[in-house]
Amino acid sequence: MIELRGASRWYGQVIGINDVSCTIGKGITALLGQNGAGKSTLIKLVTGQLRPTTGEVTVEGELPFANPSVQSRLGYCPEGDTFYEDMSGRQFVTLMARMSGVAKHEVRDRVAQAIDLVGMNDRADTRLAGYSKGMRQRIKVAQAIVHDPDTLILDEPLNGLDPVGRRQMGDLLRAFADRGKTVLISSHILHEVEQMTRSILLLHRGRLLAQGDVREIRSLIDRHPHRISITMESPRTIGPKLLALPSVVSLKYDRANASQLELETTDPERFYSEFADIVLQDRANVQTLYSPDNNLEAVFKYLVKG
Amino acid sequence: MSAPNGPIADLSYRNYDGPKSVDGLRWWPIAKNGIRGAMRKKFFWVLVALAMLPYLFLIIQMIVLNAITSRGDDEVTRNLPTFIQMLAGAYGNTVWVMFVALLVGTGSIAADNRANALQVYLSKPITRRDYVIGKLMSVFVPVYAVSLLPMLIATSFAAFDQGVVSFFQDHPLLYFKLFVVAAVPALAHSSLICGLSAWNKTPWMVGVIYVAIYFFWNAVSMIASFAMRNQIGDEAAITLRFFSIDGAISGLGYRIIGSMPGQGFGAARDLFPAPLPLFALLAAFVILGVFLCYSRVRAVEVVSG
Repeated sequence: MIELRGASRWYGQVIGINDVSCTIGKGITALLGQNGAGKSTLIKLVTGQLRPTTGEVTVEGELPFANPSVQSRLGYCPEGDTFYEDMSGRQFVTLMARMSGVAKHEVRDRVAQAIDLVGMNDRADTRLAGYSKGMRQRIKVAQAIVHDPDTLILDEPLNGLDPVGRRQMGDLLRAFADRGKTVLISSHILHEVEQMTRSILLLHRGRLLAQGDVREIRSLIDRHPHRISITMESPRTIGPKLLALPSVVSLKYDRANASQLELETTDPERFYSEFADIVLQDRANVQTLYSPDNNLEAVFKYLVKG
Repeated sequence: MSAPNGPIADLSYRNYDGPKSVDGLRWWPIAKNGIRGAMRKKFFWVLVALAMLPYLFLIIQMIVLNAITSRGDDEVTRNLPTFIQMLAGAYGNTVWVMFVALLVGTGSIAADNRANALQVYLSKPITRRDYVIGKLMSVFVPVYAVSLLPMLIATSFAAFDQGVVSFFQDHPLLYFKLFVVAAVPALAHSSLICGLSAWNKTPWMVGVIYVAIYFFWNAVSMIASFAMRNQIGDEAAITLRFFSIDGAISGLGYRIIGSMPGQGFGAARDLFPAPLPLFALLAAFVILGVFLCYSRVRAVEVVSG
């Protein structure tokens, strides 16, 4: 478990993060924010590379700054390609394993397993200079998990991966989290992050803007009514009844698609209940119903861009 | 185990329950990696061979001198250089050792700066001190080995050639001295080159700067010593002559070995530079190098102002 209590970090006059308090528990948590939001600063505080200017950061109850005891239980995958180009992937992961304190007689097995987990068996003995962006990303993740850390911090781990690679990486991280580990992922690929977790931590200009389940957060954003898109037979018959509902703010028909309508509601839970009653009453044939802005991207947009 | 390019998630994952060492020689993996990296370079071995050449000549010299001595001409034999004098002469050819140090050391920290690798290293259970020691040792060990091994080989050849018992009676502490003297170039080069490397992102630039400082300083001290010799006297002038990186390395080495080749001071073959200034200079190199490393090695760039 990672805890920040009133943590601030300043670089001279520049704010890294400002008075951030939050708890990051086991499972996957997505760390979101625009460039300069403070994501990297938060990661460096958690990985013990920086000391907070004020406040406190703890990992599993211990202060991480320059604390080998914490760092031996923590895996970190940075955004940049931090490699010696003339080493092979296996040599790099081996070095990282030794630096992480893995016992000498265990290193070979651990390295083989980490490389296997990220699907790099066939290229592990090739020089890093010849690696593609996606392969570099995989080998970076391998070095982060080689010592089986309790806490895994990944900075943009999906960058450079193709769709299949992203899905595989998502599977790997979910499997890791399912073993009771804490996984913190910084990413800007929101729809991919959403496939992995609903738990988010949203930073904006150094401050914590939101934390928790993305749907709960969305439901709290009152100033942006939820959009709901419905595909059904004869929407113009049922449309007036929907518009009469107190929870519905507006309704429009799709000119291009005669069977589709889109409405806005301030209270989605109540609307869904009332909508079910109307559908049963009118024996309406509903084909699809979804909310296009009940997702991470919409939450991010509404919270950050207003 | 998954097949190549197979699904990443593997249910056969085995938790690591072995020890995680956070004590002891945490710098060793870094040092070992640097040493291995150096040994993988072909050019390293070329430079090692070149650094051994003076000692190869020393061995050839000994064989030739043996032939001369065996003729029994006492007049000629009396004027021949001793093994210690020849050893000092071979030791004085320090330039190849410097090139070995450059090859090993210029990229030691600069390459990490360039790749921003410190972020990863310092997130591991090692401290900044471990990292700096590891990097220093990754340069020190190869340079020390390249300095020491040829001296040991040449000395062992001389010992067997002259008779082991009589050789050790004549030079009881020589082997011990060799272990000490080899540390002098290794200390100076490793600390200074690592220090420069910590403040740069381009290894070749580190090399250019170090070579420039090395030769320029050497030339200045040499010119100054000759220019001021009449005013300050022979003893101070010879110390001044050795007051540079190259000078401190060779001067201290000559003091420890107990002989030095002529330095253009006529018959002043036994006129050594004063040890204290040279030792202070060597200590300053080490302190400066470590300080430069330690002040620069950070996981993040700190924005100020």
